[in-house]
Amino acid sequence: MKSQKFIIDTTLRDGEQSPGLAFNKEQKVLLAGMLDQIGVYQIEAGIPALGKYEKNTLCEIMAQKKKSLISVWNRANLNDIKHSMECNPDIIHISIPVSYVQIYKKLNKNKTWIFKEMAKCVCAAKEQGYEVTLGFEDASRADVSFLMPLALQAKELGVKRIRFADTVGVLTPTRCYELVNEFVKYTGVEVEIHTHNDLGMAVPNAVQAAKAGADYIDTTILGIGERAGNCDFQKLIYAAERIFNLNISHYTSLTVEERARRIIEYKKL
Amino acid sequence: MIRITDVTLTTLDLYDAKPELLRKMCEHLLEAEVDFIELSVPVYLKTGPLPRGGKYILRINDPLEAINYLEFNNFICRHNGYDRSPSIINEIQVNDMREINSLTQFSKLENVRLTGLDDILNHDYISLFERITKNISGRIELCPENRYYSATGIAVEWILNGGTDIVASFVGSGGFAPLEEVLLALRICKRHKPNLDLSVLQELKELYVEITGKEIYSHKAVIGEDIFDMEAGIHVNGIAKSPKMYEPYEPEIVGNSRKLIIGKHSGTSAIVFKCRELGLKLPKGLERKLLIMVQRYSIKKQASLNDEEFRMIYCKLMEDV
Repeated sequence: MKSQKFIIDTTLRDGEQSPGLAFNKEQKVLLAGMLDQIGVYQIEAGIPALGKYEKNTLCEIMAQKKKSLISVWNRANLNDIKHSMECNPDIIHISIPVSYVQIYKKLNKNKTWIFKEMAKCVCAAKEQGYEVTLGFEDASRADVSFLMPLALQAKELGVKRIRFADTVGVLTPTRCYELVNEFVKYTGVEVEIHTHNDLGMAVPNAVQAAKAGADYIDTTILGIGERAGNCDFQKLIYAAERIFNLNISHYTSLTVEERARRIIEYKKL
Repeated sequence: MIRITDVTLTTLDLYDAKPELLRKMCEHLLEAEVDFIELSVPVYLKTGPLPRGGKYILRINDPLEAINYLEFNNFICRHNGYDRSPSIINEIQVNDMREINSLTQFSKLENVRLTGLDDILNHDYISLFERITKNISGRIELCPENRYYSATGIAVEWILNGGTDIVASFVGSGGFAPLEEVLLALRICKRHKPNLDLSVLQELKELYVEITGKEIYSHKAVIGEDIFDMEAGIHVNGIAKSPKMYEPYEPEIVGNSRKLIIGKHSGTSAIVFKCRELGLKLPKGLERKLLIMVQRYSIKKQASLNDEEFRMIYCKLMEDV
């Protein structure tokens, strides 16, 4: 029997961050409705901290959704999380930079600060009754001796699922398998794999992560996203449906892709 | 030792390409330091004399045809598989992983190319690679097909697991592993030719477009025109501090450059950078105001802003203050 895997579509968040793309409210609501209708498990719908327009859009998506869980993306700061709460999403997703280049150069902070901020943000969202998932940004380049205790602390805080992000798309299939396998075995948390296509391996990397125990796979329609994009929704389903139960057929994914092209109307797609 | 065979020219059989363009493509492939260039007979006849310094493989339909092309030392041929001439690479199609067991019948061949294996990553591929090398004692070229969008992954894994020879084609022409992805992946994951200038990939792209008339997606991995564009505040800020933060390799390696795009996802730091880039003086405290105006314009346009539009919004803000 094929094992069950769940698609988390991030077209409306990471996909939209593809430079040059800017969805308006109607487009986002339409795309979310379409993904909801076909039974995508979770839709990462946007970033409330972007402002009022984005928050209105997210509230509208929440009001119209029927089956999918709606999550919103946050940096690890309380202000972002306050914005998210105004949208009353199903899941508050908090991104935690975990590689040293991100911690020391981007944030100009240290590992202790990461532990503290993560705890502060998770507690703030959980106190208000939200389900929280974490995104370990740049996990593929992180030091495992830091990553594992951080995941264990997250688990103690009540976080059930962690996104393992290959932020710059440098993993190979075997490396991806090994990292995720070790992470799942050591921490016991549910893993969501998030791959990028910089070296053309987003799809095989996601499949290997799923083989290694990641139950959730991030995709974007048409593979849109920063640089060379993310794991392509349709391609992933085509490559993985023979070994996993994804609840969405390849035929459905092709239809979605076609409809999305018409909604997005972006000349470069 | 890693050896890469490029088969792009073989896949261009059906295009009415000018000889000089085909020759140019050979030259660029040699600059990209591929080890062998494969051509079909029709492409070879069209191309004429091939650039010097390259090692070429001619695709023929029957081993007996080899005698007609004495200028070639290497041939590839899909046939009954029992020609043991060292100059012939015997191509064998593997459509199902169970077929790997029957490769023992080719165990004595000196040169074998295994084509297909498109879903090998869905299986225990490391054991399957071992079985392949156990079943064939000669030189094995792996030519993964890209039906499941995994050909680059297969090619890279073959090398990382002890294989030496892989086959690819530019942009994955013909349904194979995209050469540009394989080159970059091996450079990053295996440190294969880490100092090689791959800016020639841009020239190869232009040639490929000219020959085939096909457009290359602007976000195509490695060679897409827009892959180093940056817009999101978090990325612009990060790259300003250290490009390594959000880029797996420097754009210059592949003949590209970073471009700052202003739009819905920009942050205040991007606004400040853009003003500086365009020589616009933005008084302190107005960054946020300008950002909000830019974001509104971008949402309305459903795209990012060009420099003229940015300048126009800036002027409007300055008139109002």
